[in-house]
Amino acid sequence: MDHVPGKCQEPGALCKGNFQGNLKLFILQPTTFCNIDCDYCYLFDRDNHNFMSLETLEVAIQQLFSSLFLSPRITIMWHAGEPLVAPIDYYKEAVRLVKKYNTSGIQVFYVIQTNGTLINQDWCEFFAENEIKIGVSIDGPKFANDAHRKTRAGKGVFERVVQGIELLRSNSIEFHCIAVVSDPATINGTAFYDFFEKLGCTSLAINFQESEGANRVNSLLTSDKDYEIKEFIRSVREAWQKSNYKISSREFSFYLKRLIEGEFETCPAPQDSEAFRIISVDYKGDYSTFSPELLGVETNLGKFVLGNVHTSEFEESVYTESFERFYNSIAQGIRLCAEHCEYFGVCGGGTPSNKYFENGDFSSTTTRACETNVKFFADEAIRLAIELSQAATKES
Amino acid sequence: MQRTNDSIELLDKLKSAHVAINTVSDEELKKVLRSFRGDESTDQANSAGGGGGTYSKDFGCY
Repeated sequence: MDHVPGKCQEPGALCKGNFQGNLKLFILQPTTFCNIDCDYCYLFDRDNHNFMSLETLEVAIQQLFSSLFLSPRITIMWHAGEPLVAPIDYYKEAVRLVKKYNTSGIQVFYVIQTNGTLINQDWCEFFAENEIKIGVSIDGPKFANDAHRKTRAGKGVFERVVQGIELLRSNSIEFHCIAVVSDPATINGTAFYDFFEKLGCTSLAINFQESEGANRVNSLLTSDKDYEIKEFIRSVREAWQKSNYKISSREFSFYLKRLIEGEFETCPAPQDSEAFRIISVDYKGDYSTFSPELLGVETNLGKFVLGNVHTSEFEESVYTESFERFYNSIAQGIRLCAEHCEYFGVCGGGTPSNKYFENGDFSSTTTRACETNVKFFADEAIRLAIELSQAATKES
Repeated sequence: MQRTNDSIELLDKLKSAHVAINTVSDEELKKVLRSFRGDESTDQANSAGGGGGTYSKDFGCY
């Protein structure tokens, strides 16, 4: 990172002033436990009933609002494990604590990413009262969802998720969906898109299955799957266009915006490669920055933890050896992306978690996740941009 | 960036797409993108966990 004049009085990149105002996403991982057992899940501890204490929650929120890193707008997000296995009172307390410590009028957004199976009327009322944005994880129609998203007894959870979504809808609560695509050859992209349109989500995010964390088996890892993945993306895009862009598409929106902006020589780094753009806190109060999936993982550079909210402030971690190691290694990885990857101009560098889990090293470049989740979508967005332009020319 | 044939070809495609997309009317782009060109509040609200707007990685949010 370059020194930012006027921000930091200390020499070098690694001083806290250089990260002032960076923090836009604060992730609280209230539990490691998940009530279901998806076969591609990256979480190692999803069988364990660990919960964040209210004491840890308060210290974390107190630190957040006194942090030099805090930006004028912050999103507080709960995920990792299933957040709704924690009681509503935990979240009510969190909202109360935010009001207590947010004395500077920071704009706060709340997001819960849930598997949807535990949503009930009480949750809906709480979401509505506190304007909490809801993301539901569902992989498409029943056969696609239930092939991977199951209970520990091996039963698909589709009906329970749809039931939760119906409750959200009957309470007029907007929701977005994240879909993991594991078997693109088995599902038609048009049927996939139409499913989500009928489901009523405001936006859709597609993640091709990744080899990450506890999930080391992934049938999409080899290039012989490229054709079917690209065909799937193309057909989803066509269905999206045909619907007159009824639901927002995370991927196509992002790449089209990058194409509008241009300036392909200076692409900004994605948020999980930028130090203190995100801070994640786990149930014990351990915290880290960069990719949230890495929190607590034993890596080649040591355990991916920068400190604990009970014993150190976020800013102190800038001066730790572990932060310096992670920071330098991740920065080197981004430099390698800039030097070697032709897609750097639209991507800004691969994510540290994928680099570590796929390549065993943050100081590395392309991963399979780069191909499936970046390059293939960017290629399709280029085609879409040209088509939109041609249609505009035709009309005029 | 090392200048390979692949990288030059892609950069050309990106530049062409940049020119092309900027010929599309704001009205049409709004329809496609919902928010664009610096609508920061929408982007920030949607940035977490794949809500649309600013692309963020999934954070393992399955």
